[in-house]
Amino acid sequence: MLQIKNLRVSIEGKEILKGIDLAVKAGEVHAIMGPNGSGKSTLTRVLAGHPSCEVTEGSVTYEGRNLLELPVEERARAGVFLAFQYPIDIPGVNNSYFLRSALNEVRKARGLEELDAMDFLTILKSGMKIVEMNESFLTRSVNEGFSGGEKKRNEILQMAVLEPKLALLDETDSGLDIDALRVVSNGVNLMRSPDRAMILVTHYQRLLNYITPDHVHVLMGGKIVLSGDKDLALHLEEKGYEWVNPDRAQ
Amino acid sequence: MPDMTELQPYADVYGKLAPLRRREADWLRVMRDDAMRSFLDQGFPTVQDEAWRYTDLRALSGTRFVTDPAASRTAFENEKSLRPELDVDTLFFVNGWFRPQISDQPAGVRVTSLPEAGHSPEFLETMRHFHHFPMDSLQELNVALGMGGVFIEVPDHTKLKRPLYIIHWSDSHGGLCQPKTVLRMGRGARATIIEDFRGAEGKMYFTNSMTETFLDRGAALEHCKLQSEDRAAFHAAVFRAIQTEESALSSISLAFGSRLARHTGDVLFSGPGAKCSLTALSVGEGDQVLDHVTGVDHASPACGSEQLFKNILGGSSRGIYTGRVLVRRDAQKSDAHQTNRNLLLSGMAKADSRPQLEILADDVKCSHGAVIGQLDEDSVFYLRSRGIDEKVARGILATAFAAEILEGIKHDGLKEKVLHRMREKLKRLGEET
Repeated sequence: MLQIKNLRVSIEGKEILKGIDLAVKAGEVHAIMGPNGSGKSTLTRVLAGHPSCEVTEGSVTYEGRNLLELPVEERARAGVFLAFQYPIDIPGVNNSYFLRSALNEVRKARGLEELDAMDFLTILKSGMKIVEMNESFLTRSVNEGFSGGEKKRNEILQMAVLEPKLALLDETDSGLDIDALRVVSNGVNLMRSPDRAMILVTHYQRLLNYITPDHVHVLMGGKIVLSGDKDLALHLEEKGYEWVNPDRAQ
Repeated sequence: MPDMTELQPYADVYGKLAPLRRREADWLRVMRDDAMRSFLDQGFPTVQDEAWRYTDLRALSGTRFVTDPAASRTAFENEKSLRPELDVDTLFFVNGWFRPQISDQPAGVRVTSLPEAGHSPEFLETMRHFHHFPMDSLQELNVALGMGGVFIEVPDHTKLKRPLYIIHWSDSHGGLCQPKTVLRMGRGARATIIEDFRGAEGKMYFTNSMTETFLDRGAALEHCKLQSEDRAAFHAAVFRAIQTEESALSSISLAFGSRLARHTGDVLFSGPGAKCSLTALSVGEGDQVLDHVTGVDHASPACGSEQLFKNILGGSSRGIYTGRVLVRRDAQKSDAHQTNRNLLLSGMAKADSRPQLEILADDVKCSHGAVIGQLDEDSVFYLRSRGIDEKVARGILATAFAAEILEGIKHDGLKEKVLHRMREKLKRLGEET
């Protein structure tokens, strides 16, 4: 589904990603781990098309298309979804209006009819059940006055409604208490399916107690220095990132 | 000293209206003569006048504007298409002249045409109050020429069932429209008044409107002005309110149309415990100049004034806010707040913000603030990352910026109407940038 080859990315002239290679197949869940400042968030942002990310080398192929050529909204319509580490507050934009506009754009791109208010509500309600959100969220402005946990749940709700093919979750576990972590992980687990791939970016192994990845990669100094299965995460938890051979991290 | 040849067209119009003035009350005739003299002495304000620094009226001088009182009696076929599809009572002004024949006669309210009202003691008594306000030469011009106006009286303790919707329609090329509305709200009276200024496409006309309101003790007025004049037109309007004890006013100004518009909001607190909220939204495209000026005079204690002015500016448009608040020495326990927020959608657009507080009392709460910014690019990215087109995303965010102002419109149908006009406007703006 996703082929990343020798990807180099700079932000404001500073090179952050220094040659990433990664292949993700449909149905797989990949965890990207690494210390702060290693480039984990940049990887998800460049895939979603954030304008601050300048690709200097390499390629990204998504379902046979050159992902890097597509504008942000086209990527979303093609099924790429980024759950933000810090979801943005948008005062004055109603949460449910926002979700419906987004879903209708994505549906249009998939050749489906736009949903009317009633049909949308049915989809929305089933999504809300997954993330245990109450209806008052819908009449509020997008993320305005939401707690950290509520914002993250709102991201998972958007994912549930938009049904992406490739979900990128950027530090979705950060700032969550145990209850919220359970709810969010549960949402992610329910979304796992043979035709959907997920990339989880996380600093801590904690999230992986709830979501079992198929592959774990360690990102350090802008490169993937180590890959393995779920046990790699446990090793990291035990021994810390210093355990990874610094030579490999350069 | 103004150039007389440039003002001559206005003197000519005044001369033409002499037969009409002869039918008016003596005091009114004297007032008009004085005002015309004052206008001719001063001429149009120029950018050398501090209060007009950003708004250049040069194009008005020397233009041969015309006004035709006889036209107010001819048939008017646009009436049906112009009626708002809302549960309201509608009053029509066409080219600045009130048209009682096609206007509704709302229940419980007295609506009188100006020539007739001029002879009533209530009108004279109401007009006396407005001497407190400073006058600029445009307002003098309206006093001199604004003969086709209307006097509206809402009796004591009367609550208007339906909003009063005043349509100001202009379709005369070179038309000099001088509408005048005088509203008297009795004790404890309640009303909603909407003023909607529009014009025929491509007609170059000049609207110079004056709306004067008097709120007796405990009266409450909601005022909403929609300015959607044609892009070829000039628009100037003043909304004034005298607020006596415990009265409440909410006045919203929405400036979308015209090539150059100036809205002045003047409030005088003449009794304690009164409250006013003045808000506005301007949406500018192309080379529009949209100017808002306010003057709030806290002449009585324990009154509160709240101002929120927002501009959304694209193209090379310009938005101006000048807000004067005066808190007099005896006006203790005054509350006065001014906020001006500007959203620039293009690098060529410009916003000027001049909040001015003059506080002579010591026990008061006053604040002012101004912000000029662009759309938050992280928010644009967030919406786009959910599949929303970039232009649509920018439109959604601009609409959200305006939401705070539109929330002040209590009437749902009216809010819908305003939202619709704003979206149309933002769509054009999105295509332009």
